[in-house]
Amino acid sequence: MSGIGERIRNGQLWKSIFRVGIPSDRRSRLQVILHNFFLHLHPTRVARSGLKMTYTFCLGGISAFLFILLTITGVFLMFYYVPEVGRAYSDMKDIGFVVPFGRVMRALHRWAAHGMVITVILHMLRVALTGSYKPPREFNWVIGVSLLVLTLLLSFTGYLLPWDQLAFWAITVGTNMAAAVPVAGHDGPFHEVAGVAVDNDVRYALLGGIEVGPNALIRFYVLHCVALPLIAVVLMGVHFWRVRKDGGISRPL
Amino acid sequence: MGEPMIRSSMTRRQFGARVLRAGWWSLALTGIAAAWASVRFFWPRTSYTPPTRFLAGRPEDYGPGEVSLRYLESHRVWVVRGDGGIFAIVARCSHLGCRPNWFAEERRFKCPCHGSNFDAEGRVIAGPAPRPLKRAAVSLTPEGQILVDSADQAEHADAVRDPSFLVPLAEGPRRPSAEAHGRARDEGAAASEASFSGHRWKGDLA
Repeated sequence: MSGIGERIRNGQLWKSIFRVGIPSDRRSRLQVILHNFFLHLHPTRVARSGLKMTYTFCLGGISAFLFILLTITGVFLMFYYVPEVGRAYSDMKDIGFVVPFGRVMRALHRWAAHGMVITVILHMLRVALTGSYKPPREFNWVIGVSLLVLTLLLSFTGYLLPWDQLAFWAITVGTNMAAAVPVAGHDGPFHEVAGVAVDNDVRYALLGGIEVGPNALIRFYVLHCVALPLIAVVLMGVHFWRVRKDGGISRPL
Repeated sequence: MGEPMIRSSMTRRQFGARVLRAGWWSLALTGIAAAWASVRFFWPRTSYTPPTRFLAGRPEDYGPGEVSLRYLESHRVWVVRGDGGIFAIVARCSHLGCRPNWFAEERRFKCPCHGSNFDAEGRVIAGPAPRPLKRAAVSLTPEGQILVDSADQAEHADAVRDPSFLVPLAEGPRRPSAEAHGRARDEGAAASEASFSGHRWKGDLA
């Protein structure tokens, strides 16, 4: 048996995929991390103190894990859900009652979304309390805040998609808040200065109209499933990369 | 030979630099134009919502104290006959913009979102709503029809002092049963509305 394994690991196919063999020393262990696309975002070495659970509580890691879980379950849901006013609600119900394991998939998506909001906020709290935002990590804090906002926006845009009463009125209220933004919202202060009215303000751009309707549904869908996740992935890449560049995971001094 | 045929004050190098500068500038301007286009893209020129000016039948179609839901789905207003005459209340809660429901038995508008209550005039009775419901401008056409303009809105306090927000009731005897007439005139009103506004909304909720 070991002979076959040996032959596979020494064959051209295996070596073309995995350039570094089985790590045997410090140097090769380091190379495994460096030469793997998925692992190279991670620091090559982690200090023993960096593994202390009660320092980071792995909150950033849990957030990233939940994001991956949300991406996978979200893609599954997209196979059934159609963002059209006449279908959205019944598609959502079908996922719950007709599709095998559909309810599990939607529940996972929903709970992971709630969880991610919580873990991202706790992660921010932890970073603040341990002072991990200090130089050279100041800009990574800024990226982190952007990721927090993106997480909330992803939650908000996903909220409309079931197209039930709760979704409809929550988005009505939420987008009316956007209308109260100074200058850019038609209900906000100084909107007259910029000639901003109900049919050309930020709320109009958000909804694609003056009321929550079919245009708003497709807009929120595209934002939720494509635009915001793309931005989040890019920022997460930079976020992790900077952690590595700034000397690895923050740890007790 | 020796002497070149054409003399220029510009060297080849200077000419090259100028071309390059023009190239960078056009690239930058293209970038700015592309950025502008990407933003402008999200403000469509047309939204398929119903026309904001519409005909809402004749004053005598409304019974005393009637709060009509006929134009609620299509135009988001209640047409109300109060003591002074006919007026239109905008169906948008002054708190955060949800649409309250009319409870005829209690003669109250109640907002499902945060529980604000309003009386038939749109004044706040309960809940977090900071102001009364807004009103939409109403007028009488030469043919005697009520013309509502839901784009022309005013706060309650201003609307009650402004004649363009009230159609006074004509003098003379009321018709005995306004409700029966209300049903009979439904089709006629819809037809006249269509001809007035040119087109009807795609969704055609009315």
